[in-house]
Amino acid sequence: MATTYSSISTTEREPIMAQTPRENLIDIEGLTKVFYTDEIETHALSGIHLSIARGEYVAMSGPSGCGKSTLLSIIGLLDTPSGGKYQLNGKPVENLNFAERSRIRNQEIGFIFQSFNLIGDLTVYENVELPLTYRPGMTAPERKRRVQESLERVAMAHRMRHYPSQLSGGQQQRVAVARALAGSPSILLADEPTGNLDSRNGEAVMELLEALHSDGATICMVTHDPRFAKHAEREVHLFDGKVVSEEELRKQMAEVRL
Amino acid sequence: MQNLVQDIRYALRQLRKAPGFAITSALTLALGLGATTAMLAVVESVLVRPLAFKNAGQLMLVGVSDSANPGQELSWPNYLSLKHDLPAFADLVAYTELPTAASTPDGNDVVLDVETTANFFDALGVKPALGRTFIAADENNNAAVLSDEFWRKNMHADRSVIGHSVKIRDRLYTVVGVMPASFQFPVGISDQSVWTTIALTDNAKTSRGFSFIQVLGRLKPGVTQASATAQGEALVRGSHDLNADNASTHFWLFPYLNTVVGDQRPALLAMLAGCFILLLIACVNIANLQIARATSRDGEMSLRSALGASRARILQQILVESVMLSLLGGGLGLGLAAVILRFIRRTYSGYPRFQEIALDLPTFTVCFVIAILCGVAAGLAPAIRLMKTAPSASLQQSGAGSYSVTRRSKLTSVLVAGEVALTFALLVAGGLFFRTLKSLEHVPLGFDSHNVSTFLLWPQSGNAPVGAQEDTYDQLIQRLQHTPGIQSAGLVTSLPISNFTMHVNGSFKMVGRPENKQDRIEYAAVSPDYFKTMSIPIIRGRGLTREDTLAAAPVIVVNETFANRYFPGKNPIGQQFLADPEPGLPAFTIVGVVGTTVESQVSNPGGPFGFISYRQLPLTSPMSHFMIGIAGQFAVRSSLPQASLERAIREAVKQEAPTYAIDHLEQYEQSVNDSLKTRKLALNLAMSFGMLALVLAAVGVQGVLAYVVSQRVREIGIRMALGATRQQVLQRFLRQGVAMALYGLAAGWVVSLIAARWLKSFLYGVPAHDFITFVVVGIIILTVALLATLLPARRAASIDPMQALRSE
Repeated sequence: MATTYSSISTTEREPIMAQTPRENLIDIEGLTKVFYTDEIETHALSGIHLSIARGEYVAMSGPSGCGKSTLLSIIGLLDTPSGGKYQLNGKPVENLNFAERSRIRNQEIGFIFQSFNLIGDLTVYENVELPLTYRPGMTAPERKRRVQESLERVAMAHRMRHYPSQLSGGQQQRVAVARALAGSPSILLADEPTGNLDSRNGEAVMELLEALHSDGATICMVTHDPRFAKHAEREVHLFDGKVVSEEELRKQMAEVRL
Repeated sequence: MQNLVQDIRYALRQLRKAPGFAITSALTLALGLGATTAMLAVVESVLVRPLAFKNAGQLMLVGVSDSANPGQELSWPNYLSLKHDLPAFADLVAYTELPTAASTPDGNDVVLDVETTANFFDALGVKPALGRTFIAADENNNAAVLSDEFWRKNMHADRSVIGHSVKIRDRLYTVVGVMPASFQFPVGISDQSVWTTIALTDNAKTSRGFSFIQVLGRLKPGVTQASATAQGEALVRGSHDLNADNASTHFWLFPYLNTVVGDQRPALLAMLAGCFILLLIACVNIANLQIARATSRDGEMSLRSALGASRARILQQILVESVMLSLLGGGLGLGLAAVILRFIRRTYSGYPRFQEIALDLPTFTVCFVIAILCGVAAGLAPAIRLMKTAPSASLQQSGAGSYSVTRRSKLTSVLVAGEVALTFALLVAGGLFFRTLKSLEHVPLGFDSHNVSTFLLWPQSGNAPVGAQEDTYDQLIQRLQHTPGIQSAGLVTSLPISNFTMHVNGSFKMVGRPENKQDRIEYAAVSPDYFKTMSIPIIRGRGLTREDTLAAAPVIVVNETFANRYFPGKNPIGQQFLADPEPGLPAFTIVGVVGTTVESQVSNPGGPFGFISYRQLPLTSPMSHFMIGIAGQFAVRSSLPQASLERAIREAVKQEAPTYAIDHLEQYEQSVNDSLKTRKLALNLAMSFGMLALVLAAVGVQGVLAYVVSQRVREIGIRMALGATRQQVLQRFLRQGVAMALYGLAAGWVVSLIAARWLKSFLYGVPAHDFITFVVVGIIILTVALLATLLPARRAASIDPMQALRSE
C-alpha cells in the first residue's frame, strides 16, 4: 500500500492553476467537525484549510476514517461544520438553514455517489430529471432538454426508458453522473465514484469525469484508489481530520503500520 | 408435531419481543372479532336458535287468505276444515290473543288473554310448573292456565292456586295449571298472560266470514313446508267452503319463528354484515402490520433458508405466529363480545328474544374458527413474501445500485385502499341512517304530542253493552276535564303512532256521484275534544260536539288528505257520503276538515280519514262494538307534572270506571320518540361500526405510510441530497396518503352505490344514493386520512439526509 501511495503526488503534474489563475469556487478556513456519541467526542475534521478554484479537478484521498467523506458532505452542504468558515461562490454557507442549503444543493452542487443512489422505481429519464423537479420555475420542456443533453453527454440517452435494475453498474454510475450534470451545477462532488465498479467500468467513469473537466467542470472527488486519484489535477491528502502533505501522509501511515 | 410446538414457543417469544406490535394487532383483532362474535350471538339467539318448544322448527302459522280476508285470521269452520283434512300436520291449534282486564285479589290488572283449543299445550310440547295443562274436557268448561309472571304478581306465587277461580273478561275461570317462567306464547308479546279455553258464540261457530282466530300447526315428522303447502293448496282448490271467492284464495304457511322475529331479520343481518366488514378491515390492518414487520425479518428468513429450512417450514412458522396473534385477539374479542351482549340485553330488552341472547358453544366455536381464519388470512401475504426470500439475500451486500420498495408498498397501499373503501361504505350507511332519522324527526306529525299523556282502558266484559261503555267513557272524560291542571281529554279509536289501533276502513259512495270501489277511507271514533287535546287544527267547518249524538243528524269530520283527494279545489263541507264498513249505516254529512296526521308510524303519511263522534255510532253495529267495545284509548293534555297527572288519571278511572284495567299510561311524546327506537338502534350501530372502521382505516393509512417512510429513508436522503426541501418531502408523503384514500374512496363509492339498494327499505326521506351523504363521508375520510398521514410525513421530512445516505 505504501508504494502505491508514493506514486501519487500533486507535484508530479503541472497544476493548471499555475498556468491560468482562476477565482476560487470554494474557500474553507479552519473547518472543524466534532461528533458526539454518548460521552465520546470524535473530532472528524480538525481545522481544514482548503480552496478549490473554478474549473479545478481535485481528488481527496486518505485512509479510511480520515474525514474525507465528512469533508465532502460539508462541502456538499449535506452536513454543517462545528466550526470554521466555508464560502461557496464567494458567499458564506456554513450557517444556512435547511431550506437554503437545499436550494444551493439543488442549483450549485451535483452529487455522484459510490452506490449510485438511483431510485429503482423511476426510469433512467426520471432519475436524471429528479433534481430538476425540485427547481422552482423550470418548465417541463426545459427539463426535458436538459435531461436529454445530460444523458447524451454520458452516452446513456438510448436507455432513458429503462429502469436502473436493467443496467450494469457502470451504466448506472453514468446515469448518476448525468443526474449530477443535469442541473448545471457549479461543482461536481464525487464520493468514491468507482467504489462499486470493476476496474474497466471504473476507468470508463474516470474518463467521463476527465472529459467533463476538460469541458470546464469543477470536480471534487473522494477516492482511496491512487490509480483514480491520478486523473485529478490536484490531490489533497487527509489524515486524522487534517490536510497533510504527501510526505506527511506517508510518514503517518508508516507510523500506523508500526 | 414437535416442529409445531417449537414454532408456537418461538411465536410466543417473538410476540413478547415486539409487545407494541402484539398489543396493537391483538386489540385491533379483538375489536373486529368482539363485534362480530356479539352480532353472531344475537343472530343465532334471535333468528336461528329454535324456540323453547318441542321440535319448534316444525311449528307453522297456517292460514287461508283471499281478497276479502287478506290477514292471518281464520274463521272457526275454516279452522275445522283444515284440521280434519290436512294430514301433513300432526296437530292444528286455534288461538286468539287480546289484552283484557283480569280481576285479581289486588284489583284489576291487564293481562294478555290467549284463548286456545285444548290441544294447545300438547301441540307445543310444554309441561306446566304447577298443576296440569288443558285436557279435552276443558273445552266445555272455563279452564285457565296462568303464566309464571301473572301467578307471582297477582296470586302471590300461591302454590295452592290450582282449583281456585280467576275472573277474566267478567267470566270465572278455574285455574288448572301454572306455566314455568321460561314459557311465553305468543313469543315476545307479554309475560303477564293467561291461557283460557276458547269460548265461541253460536255465530262464531258457524260463520265462515267471521275470521278471528289464528292457527298454529305442527308438521308431521318428515313433511316439508313445500309438501304441506302443496297439500293445503290442493285442499283449498277442492273445497267450496274454503275457496269462497275462487281465484284469489290461497293457502299459506310459514315458520312460527318468522312471525316472532321476521321483522328484525333484515336489520340484524345488515348489522352482521357491518360487523364482518369491520372484521375484514381489522384483518387488513393486521396483514399490513405483519407485512411491515416481515420486512425487518428478511435477513432472519434468508438465513433460515440458507441453513436448510424448507419453504413449507417457513410458511408454517409465520402462519403459527399469525394464528397465535389472532387467538390472542380472539380471546380478548370474546371478552368484548360478552360486554357488548350484556349491553344489548339490557338496552334492547323489549325486542322479542333479546332476553335469550347468550354466547353459546356454537357461536364460540364459530368465533374460534373465524379467529384462526383471520390469522391465516392476515399472515398469508407476509408469509408468502418471506417464504420467497432467497437464501443468498442475507449473505449479499445490500445497498449498492438502485433502491426500490414499490412492490411491497403497493400491496400494502392496495390493502389500505380496500380498508378505506369498506369504511366509506359503512359510514355512508351510517350517514344515510342519520339523514333518515333527521328526516323522520322533521316529518310534520299533524299534532302536538307535548304535554299529552295517553292510556288504554280494558273492560272486564267483552260483552258489556256498548252504550254503557260509552256512558262510562263519557263520565270519565268529563271528570278528567274538570280535574285542575288538565286542559282537555279525549277518546280515540285510532291514535296516531300507537301500538293499539282499531282499524276500520272501507269504500264509500258520495251522494250524487257514481260509486267508485277504489275510493277508500279509514274511520276513527272520537270524542268531541279529541282534536283540541291533540292540537289537530280544524281547517274548515267545525269539529265534533257533544250534540253530535244518535239523536242528531249523522256528521263526519274528514282530514285534509280526504278533502284534497276527493274534492280537489272544492269545499267538501255539506257533502254527504254513505260509508261501507257495514250495511245500514246512515249517510254522513261532512261538517269539518281537520289537518292530516301521520298514522301508525312517523314514516306513514296519513291517508284519507273520517272522524265520527263515538256517541253517534249505532249501538248495535259490529263497527261500534269493534271500535268502542274492545277497549278505549284516551289522550289527556295537561301541564301537571307527570306523576301528579298519572295519580289524577288513576283516581278518575277508579271513580268512573272501577271495573276497567288501565294500561300503557305514558307520556305521548315519549311514545312518539320511542317509535323511532329501531331506527335509532340501526343508526347507532351503523355509526359505531363506521367510526370504528374509520379509526382502523386511519391506523391503517398511518401504519402503511410509516412503513413506507421507514423503507424509503435512503430514498428520502437521495432526494434531499439532490435538493428536495423538507416541505417537498412532506408534500410527497401527504400526497401518497391522500392518494391511497382517494383510490379507496373511489372503490368505496362504487361499493356503496351497489350496496345502497339493500338499505332502501331502511331509509326515509333520503335517496339510497344521496349525493350529500356520499360527499360528506368522503370529506370526513379524506380529512382523517390527511391527519393520519401527517405524522409519518413529518417524520419523513425530518430525516437527516446524511444519516439517510449512510443508512445502508
